[in-house]
Amino acid sequence: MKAKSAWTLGGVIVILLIVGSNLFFGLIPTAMSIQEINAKAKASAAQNLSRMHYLNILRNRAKNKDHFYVAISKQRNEIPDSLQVVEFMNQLDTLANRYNVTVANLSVALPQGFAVPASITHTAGFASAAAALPAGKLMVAPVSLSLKGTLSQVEGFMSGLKSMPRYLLVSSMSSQPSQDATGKAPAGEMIASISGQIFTYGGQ
Amino acid sequence: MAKDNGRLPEIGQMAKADFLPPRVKELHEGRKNRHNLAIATLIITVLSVGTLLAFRGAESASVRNLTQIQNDAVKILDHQNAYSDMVSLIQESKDLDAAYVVASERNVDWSLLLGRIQASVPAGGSVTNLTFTSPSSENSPVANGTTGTAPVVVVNVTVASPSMRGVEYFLLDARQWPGYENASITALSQKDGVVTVSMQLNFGAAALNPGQSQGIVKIAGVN
Repeated sequence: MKAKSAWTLGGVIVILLIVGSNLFFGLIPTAMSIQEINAKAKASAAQNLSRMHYLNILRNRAKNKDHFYVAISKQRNEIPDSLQVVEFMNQLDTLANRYNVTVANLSVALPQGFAVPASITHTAGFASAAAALPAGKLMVAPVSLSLKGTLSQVEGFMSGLKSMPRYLLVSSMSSQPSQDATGKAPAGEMIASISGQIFTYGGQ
Repeated sequence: MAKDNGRLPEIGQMAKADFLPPRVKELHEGRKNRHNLAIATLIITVLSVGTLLAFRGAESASVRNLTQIQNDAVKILDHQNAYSDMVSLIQESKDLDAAYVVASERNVDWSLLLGRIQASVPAGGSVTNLTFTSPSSENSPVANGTTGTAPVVVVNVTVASPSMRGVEYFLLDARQWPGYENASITALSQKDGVVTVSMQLNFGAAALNPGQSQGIVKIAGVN
């Protein structure tokens, strides 16, 4: 091999070594590091956006604090953290007076653990609520009562249940003509037996 | 001759002659070659270092950007901490809402159904017995032995009507109610011109009316 060719070969090898080592030990690791950092930055920026959104929610809630407290208080009344049977009785009584029906045979059992059942409606709302519900916090207490009044009065009472502060899920109602002491039924008066459930959340 | 012609100077040009011995010429060419290689190596080295520095610069910029974003996150979290009471209340509200949605899935608007039944009772007739049943919050609908389907809401109603036609109209009306699936007659009797019919009306999931919490209040700018 001529000296010139040997020098040329050596020079090319040195150049390749420089390019190769720069590529493999310098550029590629740095490019990967940049990519990783940028991905992290992108994820953090997205998180910041959602944090900012949440912060705005908090600011808006704080601006309407009273409004929000009222809303939360309504939710707490619907599903309180304890049985609150006196308040429940009082609400039923108020409703019964409003619709001229008589409440009798009220029974409220102690709350028991609520097992989330398979959905009937198969809505996304139910699925996400069931997933978000912490286990063992929701309790259910069976309730039964009977009403005495005309069918229209019973209907009014049932309608009033929708706006009662405590949520009562009515699962059955059975009505038949009422009978007085002589065994006769006053015109149009009925006895309606109602079964349902009330709920508590987060109590002991 | 052609080779010699190529070496010939142009007209008017200075004549040149290279009388160096081949060994010396080879040495000159070798030196020139080494010189070119050195320059090429230098250029490659400078380019490599330049590229590397540019990449490192870009990396530093990325790190600075990330640090800035992380600092922003800390600031936002600091701001959020100022609303810690709201945070816990919002969580409580969400939990109660989830509890309400789950608990009220089997809710039926009984008063609406009762109103429909009353409105459909034939003129001069009346409802003598009425039973509604729907699954409780934890139970699933039970399959009907006759039809094989599992009605969600079952209404057993006894209607006293002055005519058979009135009962037929009642049943036709029931077909228009949300979730109606089928109906059956369980008993029928006629006495003193009054037709008394006991019926069972079955309804599907469309008869359900999951409630909405009274506590859910929309606040401007808040989902």
